[in-house]
Amino acid sequence: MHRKTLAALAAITVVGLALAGCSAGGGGPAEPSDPSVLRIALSDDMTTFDPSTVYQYEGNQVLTSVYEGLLEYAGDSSDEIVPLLAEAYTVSDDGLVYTFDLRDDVVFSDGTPMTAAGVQQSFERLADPAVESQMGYILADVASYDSSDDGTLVITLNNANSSFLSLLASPFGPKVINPTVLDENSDDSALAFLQDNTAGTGPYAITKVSKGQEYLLERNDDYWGDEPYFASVSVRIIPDAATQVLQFEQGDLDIISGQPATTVQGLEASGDYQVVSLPTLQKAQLHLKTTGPLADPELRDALRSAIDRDTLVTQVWGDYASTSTQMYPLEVVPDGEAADEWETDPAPLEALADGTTLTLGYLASGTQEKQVAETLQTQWQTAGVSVELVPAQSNDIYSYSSDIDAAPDMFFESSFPDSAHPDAWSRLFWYSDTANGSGVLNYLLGGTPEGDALIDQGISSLDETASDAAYVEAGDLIHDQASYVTIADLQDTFVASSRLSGFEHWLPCPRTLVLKSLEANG
Amino acid sequence: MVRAVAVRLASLVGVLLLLAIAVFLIQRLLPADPVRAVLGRNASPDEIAARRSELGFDDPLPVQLVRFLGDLLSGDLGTSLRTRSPVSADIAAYLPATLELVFVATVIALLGGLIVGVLSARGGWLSGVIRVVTAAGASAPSFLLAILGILLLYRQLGLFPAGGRSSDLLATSTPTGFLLVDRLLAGDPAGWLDALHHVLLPAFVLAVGSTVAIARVLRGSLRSVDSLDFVRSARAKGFTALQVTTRHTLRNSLNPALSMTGLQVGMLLSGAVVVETVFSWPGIGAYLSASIGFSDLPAIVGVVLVLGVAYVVINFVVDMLQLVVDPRLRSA
Amino acid sequence: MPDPSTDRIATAPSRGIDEPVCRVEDLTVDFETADGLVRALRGVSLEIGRGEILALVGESGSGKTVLSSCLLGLPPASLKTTVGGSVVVAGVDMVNGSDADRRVARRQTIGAVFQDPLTSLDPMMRIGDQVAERGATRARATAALEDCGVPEPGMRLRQWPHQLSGGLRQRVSIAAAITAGSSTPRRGPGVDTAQASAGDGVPALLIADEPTTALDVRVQAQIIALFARLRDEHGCSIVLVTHDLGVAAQIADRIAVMSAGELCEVGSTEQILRDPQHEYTKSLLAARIDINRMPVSITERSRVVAERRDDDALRLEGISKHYPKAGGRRGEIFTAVDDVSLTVPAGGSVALVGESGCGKSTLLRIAAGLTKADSGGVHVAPGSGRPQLVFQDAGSSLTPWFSIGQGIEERLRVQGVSRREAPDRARELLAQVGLDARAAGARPRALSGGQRQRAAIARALASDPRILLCDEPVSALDASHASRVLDLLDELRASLGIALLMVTHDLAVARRISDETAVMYGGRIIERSASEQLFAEPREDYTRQLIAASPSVY
Repeated sequence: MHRKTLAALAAITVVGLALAGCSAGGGGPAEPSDPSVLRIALSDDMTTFDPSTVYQYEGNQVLTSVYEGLLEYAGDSSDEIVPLLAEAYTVSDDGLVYTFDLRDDVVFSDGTPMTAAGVQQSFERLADPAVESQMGYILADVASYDSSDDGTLVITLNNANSSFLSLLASPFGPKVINPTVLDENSDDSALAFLQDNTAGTGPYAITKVSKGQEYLLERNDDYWGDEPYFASVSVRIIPDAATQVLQFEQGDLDIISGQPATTVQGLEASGDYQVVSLPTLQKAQLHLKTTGPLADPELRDALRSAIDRDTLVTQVWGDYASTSTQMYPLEVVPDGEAADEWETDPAPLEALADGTTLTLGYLASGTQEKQVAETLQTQWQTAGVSVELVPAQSNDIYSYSSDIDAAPDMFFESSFPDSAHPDAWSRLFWYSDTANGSGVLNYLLGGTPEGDALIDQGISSLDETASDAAYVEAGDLIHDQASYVTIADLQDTFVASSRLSGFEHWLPCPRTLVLKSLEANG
Repeated sequence: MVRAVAVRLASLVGVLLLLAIAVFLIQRLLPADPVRAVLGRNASPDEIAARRSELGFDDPLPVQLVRFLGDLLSGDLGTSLRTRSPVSADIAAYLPATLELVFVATVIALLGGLIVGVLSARGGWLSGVIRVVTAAGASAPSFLLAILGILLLYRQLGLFPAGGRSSDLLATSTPTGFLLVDRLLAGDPAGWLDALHHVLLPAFVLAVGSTVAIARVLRGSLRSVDSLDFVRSARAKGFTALQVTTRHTLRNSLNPALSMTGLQVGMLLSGAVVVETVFSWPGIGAYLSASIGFSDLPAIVGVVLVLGVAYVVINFVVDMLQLVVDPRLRSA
Repeated sequence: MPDPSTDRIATAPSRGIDEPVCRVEDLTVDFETADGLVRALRGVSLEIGRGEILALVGESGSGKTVLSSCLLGLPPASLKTTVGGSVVVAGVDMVNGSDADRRVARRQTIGAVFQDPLTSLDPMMRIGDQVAERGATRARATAALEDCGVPEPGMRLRQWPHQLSGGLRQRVSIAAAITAGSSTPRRGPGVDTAQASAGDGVPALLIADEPTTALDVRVQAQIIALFARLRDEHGCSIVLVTHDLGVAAQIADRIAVMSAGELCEVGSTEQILRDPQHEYTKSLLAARIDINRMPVSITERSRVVAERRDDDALRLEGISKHYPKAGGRRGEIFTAVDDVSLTVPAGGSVALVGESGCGKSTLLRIAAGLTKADSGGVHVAPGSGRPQLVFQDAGSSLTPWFSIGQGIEERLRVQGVSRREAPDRARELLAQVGLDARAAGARPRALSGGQRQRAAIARALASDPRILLCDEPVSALDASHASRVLDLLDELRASLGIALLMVTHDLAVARRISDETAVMYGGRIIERSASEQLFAEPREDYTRQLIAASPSVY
């Protein structure tokens, strides 16, 4: 009796599931419930809303539409710098004095107008050691501010700096924060308040927060610029990439990013969605030690020659990256300069291999890193060099330079500079003298004093052509030294609902779209 | 009874102290440099050295241990290097979601384990089917079950949401963080059902392995109790098999199953990390994995300690339950 | 298949007072086990009259327990159990009836008491709930407890089984068995209500499966008396399943003797004991170790031993042992052995008798060196080696994965016997205890209880001891095996001059084996003298009680 009932129930359930599966399975993406809401996903929760301390993809996607700086990169993914809160600027002939004409129509949400004094306060906060901002270095060389005229901010530097404007325009650069908020919370430099609240001039403001679940951005009705199309943006925290895809396909999300190449190809092939691929400054590259087993420059050169980059890039990134051609990221130096190209030829390595065993480090947390490392391992193995892979945690790699003998012989990573200026790349990676805060990402201590001099020459040169020439030469030196081998220039790939248009993107800001320019058709 | 409770309380305190010391030693043995993590890539060696001594990393180990334990006692778990908030505040923000998930999963595992255990102990074809199905379920990794669950129940059938704690994600910041509790207290039955609807699928996926473990223990213990004289007596009194099971056999078989449940809570807490990721559950799992990626030692230590405390406390509760179930333990 | 007997009983228009409560006809039970088909009952037919006490007597494996289970309609489970014939209790066919009918019959008509008071009550359920489980009121449960001689019955209702002594637990079990379900609420279709109850809610049929085997003799006598009173007061019929003819003799109106699944002989108690017809019954009576009938050789043996009494094999002086009181407060102690002195003469045999908890086993463990005394001394005669122990449960004292021979050889090797000589010596030892060479290759599980006990003795002899310490060596054995093991111990004593110290609860065994008997009570030896004298003229009242309570067929 009981058993029969159970069996009948089970049968009904199975049939019901099958029927429901048939009816719900087919069809394209559903229409969003409220067309004025844009729904996007982040894979990690934001740790803070403070524009001075945030330093992650996720924070940028949200905070770039909440806070603004004086300048910005153009939305067309070029290296052009355009005005934002400053309508215009001039630079003195000696390259030390920058004069910014501020907009006069910018008001914070509490009615406080933006003034030069307020901007100065925000800038000083960024450089305040108590704030411990990782971007403090941008303003470290400021000699003085002059904000005596509400509409004009004058910044005087101690030394000429050809990258200064690019850093001001950088998505990571100084942002303008409501001075009233800073005054009211001066005890702790407003650190606690700004961690959970926003006080910017941008097109959106964070109005509702559910930690680890969702942030709601609502249109700033007092915004000085054009009103954004979407009244609100729902930012959902969905850590699992596959779950993001599922929700996107069900019509619960409008845009997803950071997906593996195969997923993107599959979604593109379905024809229901648009795939937007945008250039970035992200570069995949290999650090090579110039000591130990790799002390011989010929061996380093031979290792490089043995790499078949085109195959590697296609295997790992598909269509969403291009084989690197320059030592610098895209658009940083003129096309064709500081070239990093070679014909794939394993012969020199085969000649030198002689049973050598090398170690190759990579970031264990990255998605593609392991795949790249394994492909390199295979390619070199066929040329007779055995390679041992060493997965590393992100903070382990900072200690490589202080104990270089213990560090792996090579290290693979993908990274991006803070701005499209060559100094932002060369000084971080190639500067060989690490004593004074340069070369902090030069994990395996490549570069030469000669190169250091060229980088210094580049930053102090007031003439753009002369400056670029110095950086290019530095790049050529690194190429000759074979202490860095570039692999690929990575693109940002967004998959979006086909109703969306107006995709804009800042070149130095990966995995970030300009929310204010996005629109929906129909 | 009082003495039985006191003995278990004392061992609870001892275990927690050992846990704290172990966690401290492990964090000091890790090679990662927490100072570099906070100061970022543009920091100079001088800044780093200054910060090291400011954080007390240069003091002798015993001094650091005493300070560490003192801070723990005052509820101070330090400041997260990654979020720059007090670790205790971060944990308070994320832990309730995890505990709620694990609690519901524990209830599912216990009830499911009881039902599966009783059915499979009865023998017959049903017991065979159950044993095959549960063995398959238990051997599938939880992320696979999670993805299968979402594919079937969210994408194909639309019966369950794909993730999150509530239909309105923005309404999940509540006084205690325990959504099921808060919405019940707020007199919001619709919201409570909604939260339950959201927790069921992830909790079920999380609970599958533990359900099987509990069922197996229960099945074995039911079978051994089944041959005892009092079960014969109960049958001889004219009760049905089900009555005998529920009145006598089950209660006498419960303690091993409860012990197993206590052990399984540890599995559930660690399994929650995976399940939370797939179901966008805003729990401690995502926080912990982000902290590990960042070598955020204060955060890692804080989470490990709090989870350890949760585990030990839950097992204490299980001990207490066993005292309630078995009158013989009370006098021991 | 319709059963004619069911038909006949179900359609009988009226029944007289002599109509049997239970009628078993041609009952056959087959078990399918992993080792093949086992025929447990072979066509048993039996009637139990109203108000009758029937003892079902047989050795282990005779089928008496299977039969009693069938009376309840609960034949033991196996891979496949086939039951043929019929068992009709108060009009309900307990073999072929529907599940529901049989359950109702169990609820209202039958009460059951099982052997082990430790497990026959649910440890997780209060006494009151268990007694009243079949739907009786509190008052009825209290009355039943009082009826069964449980002191302060009202207070007991709230107690847990583990808070009661073994004897009390068995009384509670009986109280639960005689508290049948009220016949008012739901009446089974086939239940004959006129027969269901003996009155006062006491079931018409009480089945007691070895209800006193695990109890001390005085308690056993009280429980037996309780059964008799229940029958007298409530008129219920009782089936008493027992291996002991002595117990049957104390109470039964009729005795049914079973062997190998068959009913050998059924007759009045007087007839079975005085004029047994069946060979098996005769052998059962002959093998029984009875306190009132000793083999003639015993008085003679005592005299022989007295001549040897010039030195002591074992001397215990002022032994005391204390334990923390179980469940008591910190510091509360329980005195298990209280300043006991005892000597065992070389080649002599001393029995230590007493009820459970009197300290006799603790004393034996101290003598064996397994437990350390808090004070006092154990003196073993020089050159007599370490005293060897023989336990009640030989099955668990033999290593299960060793063959019997290997177990003995292992012991011999420890004694320094060479690897080559050990197998021969082991065979000699087995021969000495009456086991043939085949037993050497068998594993303990394959032997009968008596054979295992012999093997255990052979292993104890491996170290050529002067003293053998035995803890209830025959209480788990059927009578025929038990007397043969006792004979063996006697022989060993005579031929090897080994001294025996034996702990037993069974006075008949003590009288049978020992020159001297010491009675322990509350950790002390209260009386000690030559066995014949002690049993003939006990000084202490307690000893007299023990002797009086010992079951005897004479």
